[in-house]
Amino acid sequence: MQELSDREILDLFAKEDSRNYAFNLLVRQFQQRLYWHIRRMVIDHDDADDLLQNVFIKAFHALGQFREDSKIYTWLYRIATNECITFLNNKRKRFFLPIADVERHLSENLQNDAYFTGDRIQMKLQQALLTLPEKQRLVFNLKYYENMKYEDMSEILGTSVGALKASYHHAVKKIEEFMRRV
Amino acid sequence: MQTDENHIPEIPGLNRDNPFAVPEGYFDRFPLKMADRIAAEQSRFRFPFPALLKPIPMLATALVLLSALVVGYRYLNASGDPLSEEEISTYVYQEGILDDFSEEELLEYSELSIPESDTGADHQSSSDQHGIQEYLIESGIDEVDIINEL
Repeated sequence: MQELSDREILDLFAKEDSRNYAFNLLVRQFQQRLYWHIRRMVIDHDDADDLLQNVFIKAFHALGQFREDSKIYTWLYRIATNECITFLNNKRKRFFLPIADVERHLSENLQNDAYFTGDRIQMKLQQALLTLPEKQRLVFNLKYYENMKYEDMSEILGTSVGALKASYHHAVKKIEEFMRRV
Repeated sequence: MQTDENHIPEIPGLNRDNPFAVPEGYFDRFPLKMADRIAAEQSRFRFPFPALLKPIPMLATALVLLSALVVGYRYLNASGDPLSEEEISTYVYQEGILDDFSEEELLEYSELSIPESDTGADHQSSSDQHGIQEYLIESGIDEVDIINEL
């Protein structure tokens, strides 16, 4: 699939007759990266599907006002990250659950997930990840699975590069500890 | 503190493969699903109020105007009601309006405003004069002087 630059997408989107075409290209270009980012946070496929749709609906309404202060991809990641955090917070509120119970609930979902194809060690890694604070889990996923630059991550999460590096380091240490222990 | 970007957890057999999967053809169908949702969003945007809710602002305006008409009519009607005689005399005495007029003016007004045939004033006035005359005679005033004065 031909990848368009941010400017090309924005120019097409600005014209009414090519707006839907531009948006379709945007969806095709970013759907997979955003889906996996969301899926790793919420675990369940149906939840990830709902959230991904919400992300693109929000993007559709806001893309006309997009001021190229950042790249479209980091902007979309920011929307997706906020959607995930809101979703997890709502889950806690809806069931009056403490944080640890939500992560336990996600861990149970993981074990029963028909679309989890990883081996035993990968399952263990995912369970270890669910013991981490949300921010550390986000940082670990973006670095470990997507190999994202800390500068881009800083734009998405609104945290300094130094703090992100430290966060990743802490996450790795906790995961190693979990894997040795369990 | 180690902050090496490439540092990965030291776990034997661990790799970076994605352990999750999606239903077959999910990413082929997703753009179509989004196109449908966007089309639905756009039609919702064109008609921001559901059709059933559209007449509500008009109905509310009509109701407000109707209420204003009713209230205004009642207000105007209430202020146009004539006062009863009792209300007028209470008002006159409470405000001390009578003090502003001389006795002659009041008598003149009462003679003009009250028809004699209705009130029997003629009879009343002669009986009053008779009573006054008797009182003055009893008081020892000369009868001739009394007749001259009355």
